[in-house]
Amino acid sequence: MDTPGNVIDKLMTVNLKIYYNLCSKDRDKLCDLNLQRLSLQDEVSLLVDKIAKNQLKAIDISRPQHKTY
Amino acid sequence: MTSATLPSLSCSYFSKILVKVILDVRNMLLYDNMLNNLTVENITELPDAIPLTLLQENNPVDSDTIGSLISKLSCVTIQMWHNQDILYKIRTMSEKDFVIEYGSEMAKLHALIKRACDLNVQRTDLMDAIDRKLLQLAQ
Repeated sequence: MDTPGNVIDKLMTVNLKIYYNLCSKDRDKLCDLNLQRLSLQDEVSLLVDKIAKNQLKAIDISRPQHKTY
Repeated sequence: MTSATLPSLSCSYFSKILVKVILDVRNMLLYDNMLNNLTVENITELPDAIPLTLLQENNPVDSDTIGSLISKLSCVTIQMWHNQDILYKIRTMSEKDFVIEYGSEMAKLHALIKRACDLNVQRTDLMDAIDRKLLQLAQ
């Protein structure tokens, strides 16, 4: 399951992609990226809202921990 | 602390921030300029011009707020983006080009790959810190 931190990270990457594609003439790609951005924004809001209403607990949003690097 | 010292304190604080912003913008412009002029011939010059050390101030600390954590994550994401640009340049090289460019420059390549791994760990730590902070705020 995606966590707020995870989704914010995705959102930043999509924003960077939009920034670097602004000069391109590929409008379809830009529209697609913009839709991704909007849905990620909604997802962050939804997750934060659920946390605020205590519908999500630490166990629900704990990401699989990597090994100790 | 007297009220007279507050304006001078905030003034020095904002001047420090201003200097940091100017340096960041200068580094980003330098970075973009170098990446735009990136060719197989000058790729080995990049690591010398760009600091390869990880910015320790971007590590999450207990006193961070949600805003500062997101700001740090944003910085690390941009650094990773630029670092990946250099690594993807290597991806398009043929084996011959790679040996020509990095045959005697393995230390630089090691630094680039190590930085990509370190940035990814820093990014993961920041994402976990954001999740923990949000849960802490909700409790």
